[in-house]
Parts: sequence; C-alpha cells; structure tokens
Amino acid sequence: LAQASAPDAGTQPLRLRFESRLGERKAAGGDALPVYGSGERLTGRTGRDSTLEGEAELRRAGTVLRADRITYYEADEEVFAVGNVRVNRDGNVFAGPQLRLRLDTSEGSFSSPGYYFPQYRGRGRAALIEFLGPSRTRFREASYTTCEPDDPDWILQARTLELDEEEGMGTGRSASLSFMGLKILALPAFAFPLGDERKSGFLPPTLAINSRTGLDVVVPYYWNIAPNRDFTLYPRLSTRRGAQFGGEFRYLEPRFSGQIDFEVNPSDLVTGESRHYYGLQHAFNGYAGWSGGWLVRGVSDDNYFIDYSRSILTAADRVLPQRFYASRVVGRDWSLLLDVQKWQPILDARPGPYERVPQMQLRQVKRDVAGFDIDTTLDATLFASPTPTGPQGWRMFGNTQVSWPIVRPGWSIVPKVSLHATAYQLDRNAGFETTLTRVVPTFSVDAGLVFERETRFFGRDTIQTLEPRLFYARTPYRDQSTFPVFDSATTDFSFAQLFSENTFVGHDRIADVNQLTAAAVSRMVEPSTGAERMRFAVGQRIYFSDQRVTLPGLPPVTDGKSDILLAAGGKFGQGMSFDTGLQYSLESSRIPRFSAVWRWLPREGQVLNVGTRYRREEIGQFDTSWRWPLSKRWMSMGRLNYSFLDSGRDPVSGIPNQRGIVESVLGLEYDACCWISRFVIQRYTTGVDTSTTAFFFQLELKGLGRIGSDPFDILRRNIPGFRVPDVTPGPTSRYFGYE
Amino acid sequence: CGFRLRRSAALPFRTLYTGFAPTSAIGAEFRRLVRVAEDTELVDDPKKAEARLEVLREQREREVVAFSTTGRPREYQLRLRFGFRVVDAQSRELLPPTELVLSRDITSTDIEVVAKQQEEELLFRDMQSDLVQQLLRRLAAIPRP
Repeated sequence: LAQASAPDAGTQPLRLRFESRLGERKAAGGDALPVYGSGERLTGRTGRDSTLEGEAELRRAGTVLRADRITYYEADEEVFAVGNVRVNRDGNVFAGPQLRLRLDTSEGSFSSPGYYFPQYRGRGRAALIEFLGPSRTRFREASYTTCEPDDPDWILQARTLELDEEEGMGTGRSASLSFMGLKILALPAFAFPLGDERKSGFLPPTLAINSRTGLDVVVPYYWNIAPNRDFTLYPRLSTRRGAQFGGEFRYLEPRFSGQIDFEVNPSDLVTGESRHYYGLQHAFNGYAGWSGGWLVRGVSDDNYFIDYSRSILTAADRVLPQRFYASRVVGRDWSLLLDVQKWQPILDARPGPYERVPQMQLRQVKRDVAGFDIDTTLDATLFASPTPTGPQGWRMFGNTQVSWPIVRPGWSIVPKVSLHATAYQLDRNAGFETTLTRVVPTFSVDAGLVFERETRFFGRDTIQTLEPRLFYARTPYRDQSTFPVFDSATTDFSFAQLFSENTFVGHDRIADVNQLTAAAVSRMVEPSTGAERMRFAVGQRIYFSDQRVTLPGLPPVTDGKSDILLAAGGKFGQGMSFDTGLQYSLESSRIPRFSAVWRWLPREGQVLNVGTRYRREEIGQFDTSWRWPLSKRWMSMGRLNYSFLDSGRDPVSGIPNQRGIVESVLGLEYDACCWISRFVIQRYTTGVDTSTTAFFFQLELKGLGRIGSDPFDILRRNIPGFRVPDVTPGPTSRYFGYE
Repeated sequence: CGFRLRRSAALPFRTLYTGFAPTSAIGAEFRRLVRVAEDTELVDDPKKAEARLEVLREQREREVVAFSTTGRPREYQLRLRFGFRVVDAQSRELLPPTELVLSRDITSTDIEVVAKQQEEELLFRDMQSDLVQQLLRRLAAIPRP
C-alpha cells in the first residue's frame, strides 16, 4: 500500500490505494511529501520548528535521518542534526557529528562524515560533504576505497570529489591513488564512471611488453557523442615503434549502422615509414527497397599485422576484403544482388583470390508449388585476375533446381533434377578459348528412414533412433578441362558433402558423378526433454564410374569406393562433452583425417578442453586450454597448441611443416577481495621461425576500473567454452539499503 | 531389434505461432516440416495461438580451430547457435530458454576464401536441417497441459 500521489491528495479525500510497484525514487523530488518523525522528546513552536531529542528519527521518501537531536524548520523544510548523525539516502549511508539538510531540494552539508555506498561497495571519509541536490554529492578532502575499512589495500584520496548519480559520473581534483601503501598515481583532475555506464572520459590505460613493440602503453579516451554514436581514441606509445594513434567510431541509426576503425603511425621508429590500418563497416536497410553495405579493410604494408598484432588471430590476417554489396526484392519473389568484391592479399597469400567486379545475381526460391520446390539462380560476374597474365572476363550461369520432397515423420524421399548452363566470355583468354559454353543436367534422389526404439543407455531411459539414408546422384560428363577456374575448389570430405551432388564448390566445375552414398545416424534422445545426448554416424560413397572432371593439379577420382566417414559426439553428465570424427581409407588402411575434442565444464567459469586435429600433410596438432582455480584466490588460464606435423608443406606458401608450439598462453589471476591482478604471458608464431612474445599486466581496483590491458579478449578466443564473467551489477532490489 | 518406424512427433499444441525472423532459413524449414508432418496448425496471429515459439537468438559463428605450423589459419569451426523458449497463450513458460548449438569443421586456406564461402553455406544448410529436427523433438517432449 502506498499513499495516493500529491495531486490526487489535493483534490480528493486522502485514501489508500493498491500500489503494484514500490519505487524508492517514485516519490522523491515531489513536493508536499509527508515527513515522519519520532524521538524520546519533542519540543517546538507550531508552524515554525520542532526539535526531536534522544533516538531521534526523521523520514521522508528515500531519506532516513537519525541523530541525538534533530531540529526541523517547517518553513524551508530544513533539518539540523547533531550527535551520532546517520543519513540513509536511497541506500547510501553517511555518518558524522553534524548535518544541515534541506529536505525539499536535498541540499545541505555534513561535516567530517564517513560514508558507505553499498551499490559500489565503496566507503571512505571526508572533511565535508555537500549535498547539491537529490543525486549530486560533493566531498572535500575525501578518501575512497572498496576494501575493508581498516588498513585498506588501496585508497583514493582527493581534494574534491563530486559524484553525480544522475549522470553516473564521478569527477575529482588533486587526487592520488595508493596501492599497498605506495603512491602509484597522482592526478590533477580525473573523471570516472560510476558503475558500467557509457560516459566520456579516459579509460584505464593498457600496459604491455611485446617483443615487436617493446614497452607499450595505451591510454584510451572514450567520447560518448550521443546515445547512438561514440568514439574511442587510442593514443599508443611504444618504445620500439614510436607514437601511434588509433580510433574507433561507431554509429547506429534506424536505417543504417556501422563502424570506422583506423590506426596510424606517422613514423615507425624501426622502418622509418608511415604505417596504417583501416577498417570500414557499414550496413543499410530500406532505401527505396535496397539494403546492403560495405566491408573494407586495408593495411599500409605486408608486415603491419605481424608488427602490431596483439594475438595470433590478428597476426594471421592475410586476405583483406574490400566489398560493396546491395540487394533488393524485384517483382514478387526474385531477389537481386549486386556485389563488388576485391581483396588486398598480403605476404604468402599473394596473388590472392579472383575479384568480382561486379557480380549480379537474381535468385528465386519457390516453396511448395503443387508440392514442388523450385530454386532458380541467374548470375553474371566479371572476374578480374589477381595476376597480370591470368584469364579473366565474364562468366554467366543459370541454374534451376526442381525437387519434389515427400516428407513424413518416419521417412522421406526427395527426387531432384537440376540444369546448370554456363557461358564464359573472356576478355583476356590466356590460352583459353574466348567463348566457352556448357550445359550440365543433374539428377538425384535422397531417401531416408527414421526408426526408433525405447532402450536404456548408461542406466537412463533413452529413445534410440536409427536413421539410414541413401543418396544417389547422376551427372553426365562434360569436358571442362579447357575452362578457367575463377571461384572453385574441392570441398572437404564431410557428411554434408556426401549428400551434395557436386564435389566442387563454385561454378567453374560441375563434377561428372554416378554415385551412391550410404549413411546412417543413430541418436540417443532423452524422452523427457527431447534433448540429444549422443550421436553416432557412419557414411561411405560408392562410385559407379570414375570421375573425370577435375580441378587443375588434382588427380581424378578412380577408386570404386570413397573413404569411410565416422563421427561420434555427445554429452556425459557433469558437464562433459566430446566430439570425434574420423576418415578411414579402406584402400590404404590409413587415416587421412581425424579430430577428437573433449570438454569439461564442471561449473560456471571453470573449463578444460583437450583436443587433437589431424589432416594428412596439412594439419597435425594437439590443443589444450583451460580456466581452472588453483586456490581460493588464484586462478589459472591458458592455452597450448602444439603442432606435431613434420611432413608435408603448407599448401599456400609451400613452406615445409615443422614441429613446434604454434601458440602458448598462460594467465594467472589473483583475487584479493577489493582488487584483482592479472598477468598474461603469450607467445605465438607469426611465420617461419618468427614469433611474437607479449606480456600483459592488469590491476583492477574493484569499483574503480582497470589499470592495464584487458587480457580477457585474448583469453576469450583462447579458451573455447569460456565466457567472461558478467560483472554488470544486477538491478537493485526494491528494498535495497532499506532501513 | 525393437526398432520401429517413427510415428508423428505429435506436438502438444493444436495451434502454434513461430517468432522466426521473416528471412530465417531455419524458420522456413521448420514451418515446412510442421506443415507436412504434424497435426499442429501454424498461425500468423500470436493471439490466436495455443503456444508461441519465441526465438531468442539465431546466430552464425566462425572460429579458427587450427593453425598451420607457420601460424596461418587452416581449419575453422562453424557454429549455428539457436536460442528459444515456448510460452502458452497466457505467456506462461512451457519450455524455459534453451539453446541448441551445432558445429561443423571446415578447412580453408587464405586464397580459397571465395570458394570456401560457398562451402560454408552448404555446411550451414546441413546444420539448419539437423537443428530443425532437434527443435521438433524438444517441442514434442513438452508435456500436454
């Protein structure tokens, strides 16, 4: 129950009504709010002042005041309190010997008080507190810490400190920060956000030691331009590379959004040259029916990412996109796509992929036309060669697929016919015919059955399924050896590929096939929830004729049978899961590819991954990552990626494979209640016999922000399954800090 | 040995509203399967539905899972993440927020990006149909009111 609001009270007799929500701030700020008082003795003059003595208490929405003696002046709603004064304003507690406060405007002053803000778990003392309104408070000669009050590990001291809870902002002057009794920072003026809101100001600086950049300091400045626009400037100073400026501008509008990133070092101390990176991202929607965007990234030179990267991921970038695209619906159900796709290839990725300048595509997807599904694609693309002599020109194709899916709960059969017509018109033929055409039909049938049975699996009721599936595909042979290759490659041998008609992706090669795939999946399903606990799959393809269409440099398929694919995955109890896959060659009794990953998430924030991946001559690595508590205060996290492959060559650069550690990261975290320190040491390969070593340090004073770089963004990639703990405080309770 | 042909999953509601985005491929496949294989009717007006499938997240992810010995990405994991919950006409939760995550691995080199984009599409389609099957099983397991 709550009292009716003030306007009602004036015109109608006072009555009580049901209030579904009790908001502490609901009543604050309004005038004519009642004031309640209690005490052992009450003296006063009617209409002028009243004085409460002994266990005196005064309440007004949002504020509770207790003292030995409280005098209340009715005319200007002013309160004067002395002796063991304690004020609770919306949960924030102030205690001291003497207070003067106007209740209506929440203005006043408090001499030599102590204070406690439970929302931020912050406390401190001040020579004087001035209340400047309902949400603004100024402290003079103040101290602040989130540690326990006696002998705090860190303490912030300031000549003046102003907290604005409306703005969510704190500002201070002549401040110093001490950590373990050591003065680590002195600032003439500073500003910091209260809580996690977006506010303009300097962000905690980043500290790192990096083998490529030396000692590296970044002091970011965040500019909150508008609720839908912000800009972060990253001035960066490193001992080996000099001064660099980076920036990130983000914008969000109803019909478009995007981001602009840049990094510029006008004069790199090592190379003596100007070096930069830029990234533009934009997406729009609803301009005369058009939607689209662009994605453009570029660097000044080949080694930019290697020299300036912070992790193996940024160092690994080799092909930077320059893409502009737009699409719209045409007619009733056609969609039109216009796309320009270029690349900046760097280092060993040169000469890079073909460019589309431009691509024009019309697509129509019709579902359930008298039981038929019809997909049509018309595409015309002008390909530009990445090399000065390679073939280039227009490629046009039209593809129609008609399928007749018959799907029932226990079985399905999908016959499908498709026709693929292609024409090339080369303006630089490089030894190819200038005009080339090809028409290829394909027929396929995909049939599956689903059986079920009730059983027990590891002592639990389970529904086990058995899902055999057959897929037959037939495409006649067309000689395509005289056709150029613009955007095509062989697909991985996978379950998805077993059920696709073409063994190539792209539109330059249509494989001649006469083949049957036989596969089966068995799942273990929990009957009470329908959740899949476990799955096993096996599949193989039988070739009725040798495949003659090939990509240049690859041998034709002449085996009667493909390798066998096996897969198993699932979840055990206690947060354990596994995923394995294996390709087995009957012909050579070898295993060309396998992978096994095991993950254990025993509880929130604790994870262990162990895995291995192998692909003959190309990948062979052992990989483990974890986040694991060592004791109550120490936490360890890390990743180790070791490559055991010593045969074969890298398919792009031709560099022979070598054994060695590809990436190693070790992080330690020490949590001492009111502060956390994190150390991360990292080493990753950036090329042949080159690597980067980096050391990051971060000190987080809880409730004050972090000093040092945030190693979490590195760890996020490094530990699959690990999520950064959510530090945002939850909404405050309705009775938060209630007295 | 005890196996029999699967019968209709029989969703425990007569009418269902699905909150997929209009362009969602998962949504198109789900609706098709429900239309041909289930007795449940799909309705366009959430107010007329006995139950509502609320889509909380439909997201594609791509992560490097293996590097070459020289630090080049060579294998990626594609993930399809789908979060949903089911409520009845009075917005009472029939199925609390649930997440289905499927993944497929794909090898790629820097210069194959264009071709591999198309293979990624193939793998995402494969995951979508798998996901719809799993989603139907989850819905069918909801107890009848």
